[in-house]
Amino acid sequence: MPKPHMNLITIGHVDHGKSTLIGRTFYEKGVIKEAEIKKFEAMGDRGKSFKFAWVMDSLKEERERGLTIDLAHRKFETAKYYFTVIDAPGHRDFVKNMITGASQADAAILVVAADDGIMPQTREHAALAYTLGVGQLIVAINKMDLVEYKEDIFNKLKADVVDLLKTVGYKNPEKFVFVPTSAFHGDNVAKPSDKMPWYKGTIFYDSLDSFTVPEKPLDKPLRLPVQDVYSITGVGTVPVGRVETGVLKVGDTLIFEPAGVSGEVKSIEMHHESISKAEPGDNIGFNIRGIEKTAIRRGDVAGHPTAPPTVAKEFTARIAVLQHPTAIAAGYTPVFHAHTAQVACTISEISQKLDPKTGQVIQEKPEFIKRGDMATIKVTPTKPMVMEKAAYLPQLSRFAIRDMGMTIAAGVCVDITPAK
Amino acid sequence: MPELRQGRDLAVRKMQKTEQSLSVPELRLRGALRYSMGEVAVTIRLMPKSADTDLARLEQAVKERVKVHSISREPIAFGLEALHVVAIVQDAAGGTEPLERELAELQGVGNVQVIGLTRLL
Repeated sequence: MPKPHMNLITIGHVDHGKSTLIGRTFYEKGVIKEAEIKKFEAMGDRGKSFKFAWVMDSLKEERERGLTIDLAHRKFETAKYYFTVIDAPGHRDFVKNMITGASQADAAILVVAADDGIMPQTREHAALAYTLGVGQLIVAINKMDLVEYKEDIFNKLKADVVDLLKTVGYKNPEKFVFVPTSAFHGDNVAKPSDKMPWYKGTIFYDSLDSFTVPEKPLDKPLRLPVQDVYSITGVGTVPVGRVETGVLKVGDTLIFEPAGVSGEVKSIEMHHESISKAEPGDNIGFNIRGIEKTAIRRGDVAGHPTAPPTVAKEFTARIAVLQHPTAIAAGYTPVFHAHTAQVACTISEISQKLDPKTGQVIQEKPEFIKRGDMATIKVTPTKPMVMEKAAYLPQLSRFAIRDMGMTIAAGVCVDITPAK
Repeated sequence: MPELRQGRDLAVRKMQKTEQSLSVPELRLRGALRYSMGEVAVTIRLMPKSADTDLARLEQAVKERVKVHSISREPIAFGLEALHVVAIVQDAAGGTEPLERELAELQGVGNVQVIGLTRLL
C-alpha cells in the first residue's frame, strides 16, 4: 500500500527559521541531490560549515533560473508518510486565500525562535491554524544555539507556547511534541544533537510520524459551495465545486441556498471520470436536472433538503483585526469572503473586546476596535448568504474580511440567526 | 466609487512600507535579509467562461498579460477543463488580489480561484 499523503504547513514568525528548518530537513534527508552538495563542497574556501548556506542559496539560484519551482523541493517522505510542505507567507493579505480554500493543511509545524520568543506573528499564525481546523501541531523551539542550548529557556518558552495555544482554542496543547532545534546547525532536526542531552523526546524528523491522517468529515451534512456553473451541450446544467463536508451521491436531491432551488443529481464526474459518489476534498462537476444554469451561481451552497445550508439573517462572530488604517466601528460594511461567497456585510454591533493574550473580555460594547484587537461582533449580510456555526460545521464558519484592497480581519461564526 | 477606493488603497500601502522596517537581529545566513520576506508561489485555478472557451487562446492571453511560471490544464468534468497558472508574487507586496484581478479581466475567464500558496525556500 502506498504511504498516505499529508499537507504540512509551516507557521510562525518570518525570521524564526521556518525555511531553514525545512531546508535542513531536505538537505539531510537527501531531497537535495548528492551531486549538488558535492558541487558546493568543491566550491572551496568557504569550507564545510558554509555548505548548508550554499545549499539554501543554490535553491534560490536554481529557482531564479526557473528550474525547480514545480514544488519538486516541497515533497519529502518519512517512514510513514509523504509530506508536501506549504510555507505560510508572512503578509496578512494572504490570510484571505488560506481561509477561502487554498492549501488545505492536515498538520502544522509551529516554529518559535528561542532567543526571540513569541512574536505577534506567532500568535496570529497559531490562531489562523486553529481557525483553519488544523488540529495537530509540532512545535519547534528553534535557534537553540543562540541561547547556549539551555534547558530552562526551552522549558520556559514551551510553557509560554502552551498558554498561547490554549488561548487560541487548542485543547491539551501540552500533548503536542515540543522539540528544541537549531535548524542552522542541524541539532535535533534529522539527527539527534549531542548539545542537548537533557532532551529525551523525539527529534523533529521522527516526530512527524506522530501525526495522524485527519478523518474526512463524511458523517456531517453535505455542503458543496458552488465555484461556477456551466451549461454543457448534451449534458445540461453542471455546477462545479469542492465537497467540504458530507457525501454527494448520484440520485440525490439537492437544494441550493440562498438561491432556494432544488434538483436531482444525474451524474458526477471528477477529472473527467464518472463517479457514483463524491467525498470531502473532491473537486467535482455534476449534472443536475431541474435547475437552469442562471438559477444558481458562485457562492451558493448545495446540501440535502433534510439538512439544508443555513442562510444567515444575522450572525455572531469572533474576529481578529489584522490590519486597518484607522478603526472599525459599528455600521462599517466591508466585504466578507466565506467559502466561495463574497458578500458585503454590516458590522451592526461590536459586542465585546477580548484580550488577545488571554481571550478574556476586557470591554463591553466598545466604541471601536483596531489593528491587533480581538472582538465578538454582530454581522448583518446586505444580501442572503450561507454561513454555519463553528460548533456545527467549522468548514463553513470561517471568513476573511476585506476592504480597501487588504485583508482587514479573519474570523469564525459562533452563532447564527437563520433567515427562515 | 472605485476611484476613491484606489486612492485610499495607495495611501494605506505607503503607511505599511514604513512599518516594515527590516529588523534582523543576526545575519545567520548569507542573504538572510533577502529571505526575510521572500517570494510566494501562487497557484490559481482559472475557470473558463463556458465549456466552449478556446483554452489554447486563453493560455496565450494569460502569458501575454502576466509573468507566469507555468500553465497546465486540469480536467474537471464533462469535457470541461481549467487552467492552473503558477505565478510568483512578492510576500512583502501582500496578497494575490492584483494578480487575480489581472486574470479575471481576460476575455474568456469565468472566475479565478487561488488554490495553492506557499512561500519559496
